[in-house]
Amino acid sequence: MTIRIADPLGLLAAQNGVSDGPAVEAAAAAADSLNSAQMAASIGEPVPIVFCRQVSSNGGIFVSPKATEARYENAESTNVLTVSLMLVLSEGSLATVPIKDVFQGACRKGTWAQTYDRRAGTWTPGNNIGSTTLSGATIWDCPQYCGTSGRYDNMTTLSYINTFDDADTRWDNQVHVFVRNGMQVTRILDDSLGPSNNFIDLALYLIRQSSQIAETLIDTTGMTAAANFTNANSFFFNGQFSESSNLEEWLTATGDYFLLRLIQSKGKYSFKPRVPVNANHTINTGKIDFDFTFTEEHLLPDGFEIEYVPLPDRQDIAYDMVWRQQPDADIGFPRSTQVKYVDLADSGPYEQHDLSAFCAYEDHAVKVAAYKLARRKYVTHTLRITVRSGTYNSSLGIGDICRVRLRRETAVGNPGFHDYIYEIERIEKTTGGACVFTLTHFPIDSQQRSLVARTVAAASGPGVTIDVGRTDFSCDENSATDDTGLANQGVDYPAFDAPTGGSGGGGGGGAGGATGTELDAPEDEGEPIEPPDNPEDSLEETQDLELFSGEHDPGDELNVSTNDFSCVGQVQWFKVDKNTGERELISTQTEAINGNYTLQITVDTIDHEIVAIGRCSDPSTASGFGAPIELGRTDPIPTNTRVYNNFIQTSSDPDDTSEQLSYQGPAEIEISTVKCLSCNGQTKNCSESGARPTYRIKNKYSQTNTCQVTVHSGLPFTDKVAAESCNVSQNWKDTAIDIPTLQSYELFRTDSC
Amino acid sequence: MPFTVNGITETSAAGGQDLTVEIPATNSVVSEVEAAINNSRFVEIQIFEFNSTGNQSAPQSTQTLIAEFTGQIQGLSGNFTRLELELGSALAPVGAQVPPRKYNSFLIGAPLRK
Repeated sequence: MTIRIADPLGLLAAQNGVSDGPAVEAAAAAADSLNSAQMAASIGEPVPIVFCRQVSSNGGIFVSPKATEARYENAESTNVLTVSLMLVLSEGSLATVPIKDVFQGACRKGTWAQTYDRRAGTWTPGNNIGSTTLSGATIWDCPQYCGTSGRYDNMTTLSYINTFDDADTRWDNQVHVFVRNGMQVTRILDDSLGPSNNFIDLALYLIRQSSQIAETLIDTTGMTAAANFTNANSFFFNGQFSESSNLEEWLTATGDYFLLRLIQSKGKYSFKPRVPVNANHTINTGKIDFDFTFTEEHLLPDGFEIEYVPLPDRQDIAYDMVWRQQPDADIGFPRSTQVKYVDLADSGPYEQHDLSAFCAYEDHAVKVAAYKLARRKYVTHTLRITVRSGTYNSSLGIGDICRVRLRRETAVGNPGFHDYIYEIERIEKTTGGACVFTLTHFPIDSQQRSLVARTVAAASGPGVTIDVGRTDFSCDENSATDDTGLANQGVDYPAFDAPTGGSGGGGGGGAGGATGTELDAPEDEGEPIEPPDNPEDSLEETQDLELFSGEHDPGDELNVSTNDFSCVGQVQWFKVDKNTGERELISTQTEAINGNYTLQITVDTIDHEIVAIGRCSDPSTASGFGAPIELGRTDPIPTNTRVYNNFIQTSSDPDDTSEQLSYQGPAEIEISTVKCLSCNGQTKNCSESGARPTYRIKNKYSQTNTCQVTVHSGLPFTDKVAAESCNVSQNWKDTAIDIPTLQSYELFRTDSC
Repeated sequence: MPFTVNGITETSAAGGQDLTVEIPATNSVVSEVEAAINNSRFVEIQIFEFNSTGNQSAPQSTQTLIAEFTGQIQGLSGNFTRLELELGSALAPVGAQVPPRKYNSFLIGAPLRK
């Protein structure tokens, strides 16, 4: 059922932000207590999204993760309590957090581990508090229901372990993490996978994850322009998103704080800056050109309706903008900056806007306040005009600037004019031809420059950094400068997460196997009287391919045949860090060579997966290419420890291939056909007497892990030091030689010189 | 075939951007419309303006595009002879959709209770 109501012009002032909603006076979102009791996660509440990226030592977010599992046990003789917590840091994959950034209460302490897509830590949850022989010992009152385990699918998790002496009351203090780089997304501005502080990246992630609207209904061009606007003006999002919200409402409300409006044009969603912008996406403080002038010629009868902004919404006020001062190496805390016009609203009224959940830049908060102040001061009215159709039907869009100049005959020979500049807020195009434009006054100065834009561009905060007020750092047990990453330790399916039956829902036993139900898809049992209501779509989009996969080594070649990827377009090769998930473009190929798009795997890709993404040409998109198709993905490229069965030519005559020595080793050695040396290293023509062939080591290993080589024959090419540390036969160790580090044709025989 | 469509609205305000199309319920229309709603296909509407005075025998070669809209079929109703398509997108103005994931038993089992 659809209920349609009229859209009164009087509501426009509230819809477009001229009138603010009721102010909510409450504690700043960033004012979390440091020493409160550890919070536990509950079934049904949202999984938080930590979204931030530290740039130039500013940004990041201090979060207080909730625990899902715990283990408590005490020592019998000392009653020392060991607390272990399993915590969910964020949805998605986060870069490894350094030791200096993890806290309990206000202090850096504890032993930590971090992992992704699985349960962190290997300890078993439970309350194992037992008796103690310590006289007068405290009775530890720890929770009895310590949690089972789950699969932590697509989550970054933490394990925290710490010990507390008898009677230490801090055992249940909340743990905190300063996240410098949050969840990894594909950034719209550089098309790279990594952390982001761009509000548009978060908006796109939420739109896509919520599956509310199809990809086609997202205006990528408009989104890119909006992302550039926030980036160019340093409006960054560094926050944690954990409050359950309506997506459209959240996008609209939060977009306001980035001076963006959520618009829908031609059915597609996008954001548009609330102030005019230059080509380089900075705020345009120069002369504003309007796109069209409406006059009496265009206006239809009864086509003029005006509504002035009510007095309470034009009153001078002072804005208290709450943001977050986020020191590079300490706990962030909320700050407030009061913004008002000089000599106006000195004693209020005051209105508070809390941006501390995501704003770590004072200028950002001040510019938002300046925008609101300028709108209140300069925007006087809204207008709705009904005009006949014309060329502007297809040329004017939401946010465009137009002029309305209407002659008003009030005195003979002395006509007046309604002559103002407006910003288009709403367009209604009827099939009858009439167009209804809903407009907001766009105030300009005598040089036709936007008063609001100039106010915003000129606004900046005092720039004062307040001392955090902390003098005692003695409670830190971990170093405040230790950049070592937390250990990557965890288990996919904990042994204590025992199968409990059930079916579906998780691909196995344990909690996963017992908590979901997947219904069988309807089987085709012949043609019924009526065809099935949901037949497969014949227009289904192309799915990903798997043209290559599995193990590959440096030196190998990956191919995407034009038989498999036949459209005109491009193939991009990426390497994806196996630990951080960071994606980096290696090569872009727009043309196949000999029927193949080819990539030679180099040692630069060690410890990375290699992914090929193909996109067909699509002139209708902003990039010129259509939806990406994954063509193949390798396993992480290993340090080359593969054992090769090789033969090395031992004859001094390069043409004599009859004398060979076989060996197994981690490197391939190939003989040069162009370079020969004498036995004392002098260059010789290969046809000369005494010329000896030279060899080149391919795939030489650079790490020390060669212990997987357990058998060999002949001359082993491995490192002496590595061989000593490996559990291999003495014969192997005795015959090990140093691997030359050079990768040139300089290896040659020196015997019988 | 003839059809009617109401006005196209572009706005920066939330909600209210749907479009309604009325179309005869012929066999081919019913088939295509059912396939479209079942498979979340897109529907494109383009409205052209032209003056056909003196050109009754053939459509104008030059037409002015005055409005266009892309959406999915959000609602479908009608009677035996007529179908009414409600086009739009599913960015619902009510209900909570984000953050998109919630803690459930598969993800965290039976969690710690304090």
